[in-house]
Amino acid sequence: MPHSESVTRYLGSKTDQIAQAPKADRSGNDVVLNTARTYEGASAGTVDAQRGHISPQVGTNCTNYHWEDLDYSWAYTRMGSLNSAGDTAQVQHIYGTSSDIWVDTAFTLSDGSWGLSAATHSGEGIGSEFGVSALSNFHWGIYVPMDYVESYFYADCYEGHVYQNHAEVRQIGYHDGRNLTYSIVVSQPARDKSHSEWALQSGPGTTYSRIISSFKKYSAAVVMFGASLGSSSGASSYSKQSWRFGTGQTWHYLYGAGISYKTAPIIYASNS
Amino acid sequence: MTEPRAHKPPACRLAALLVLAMAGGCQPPSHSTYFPQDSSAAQSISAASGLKVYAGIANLDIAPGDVVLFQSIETSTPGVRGLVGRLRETNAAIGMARESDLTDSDLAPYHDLGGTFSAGDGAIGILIEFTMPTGQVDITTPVLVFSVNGGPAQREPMLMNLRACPASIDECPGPEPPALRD
Repeated sequence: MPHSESVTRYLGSKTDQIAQAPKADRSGNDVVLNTARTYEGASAGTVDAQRGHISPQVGTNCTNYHWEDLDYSWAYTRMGSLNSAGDTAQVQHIYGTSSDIWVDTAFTLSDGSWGLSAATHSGEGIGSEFGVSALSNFHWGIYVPMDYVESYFYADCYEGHVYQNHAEVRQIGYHDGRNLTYSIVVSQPARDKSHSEWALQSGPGTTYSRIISSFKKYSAAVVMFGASLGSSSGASSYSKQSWRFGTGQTWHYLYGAGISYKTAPIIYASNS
Repeated sequence: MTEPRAHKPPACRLAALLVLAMAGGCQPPSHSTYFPQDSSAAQSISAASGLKVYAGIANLDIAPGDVVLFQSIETSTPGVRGLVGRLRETNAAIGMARESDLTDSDLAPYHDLGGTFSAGDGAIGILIEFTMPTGQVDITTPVLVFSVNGGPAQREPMLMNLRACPASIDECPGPEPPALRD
């Protein structure tokens, strides 16, 4: 299974909606709803004609509140950065069998206005590793391709199949067939030499790899289905970063900013 | 320095002594959890036979009020020497390096295991030293043995895998880091 989902969806405050939502954990606001179903005819890249009657929030004697997945697409989503200094033979950021990512979920209560609610989690089931390889003096943001779905909230009412003015966009797993990529040059702070415990120095002809479960959460945006997930993006964990240093007679420093290289959410690199 | 805290044996151990010694239903933990390990790492190095190799296996913070005695390093590789030092007296924690890459001042802060340290010493670096044989060396999760406040010895496998190869580093892929603890 490439995707493990734990979604807390916003439902609003209508009494009958709350009453019918299974497994409510907070009255009137976020509820866990496990009855999402794919709308018949929905497919990637299409806009269904049924959206034509989504505007008014009307309906009487409504039953069977449910989410319908209407559209699918994918986008690269920021999940890390990778830094190397001079005399580096190879540096890799691996997103693979033990990696994962959290991405915020966007929701709207009416057309055009999006907010953020909860997050979805993916990654444990990916069966192969994906990596970005680079050489010396590499300072780039790393992106992972993720699938997204746009869902709408409906009810079966006396008037028919009625949109309830709630929609959401969420990620549903790693997008197969695409590798990691990198974009945006990132800057890095200079090593604070007054805190030697924050840095690691490796000699020529060595390698260093680290796995950590508290990777940085980035605030870069993902725009999907017209929803600008302003403060969204992902916080990946269990990602592995590896450096293979060259044989030049220089020290290779990896360091955190204000924190030990052991636990730093980003490892920076320098030769001094 | 504050008074060391008394060592408190785990309740699970007491229960095992009183009730469950035969049943095996309440086992003490198989390893210490005194030093949190939120990441794991792996390192490798290319070194010719006969060269001394140094590898950092831990960068540790001691809880305020505690006094820790670092006793020994256990590995499956014979001839490994454990060293301990205050990282604030260094330029940076040593990852992996040959003796020829290091100067006397790089190693001066490190001493044989056996001394006691407290939070006031700042971050503590643990190094191992071994002499490169003719073949490849793999050291998997070396076990740090230590005691806290005069208590019993605790054994903690450090989440670090090491490899040293006589070949060039291009022909000596680094080992995988150990799995993180749940």
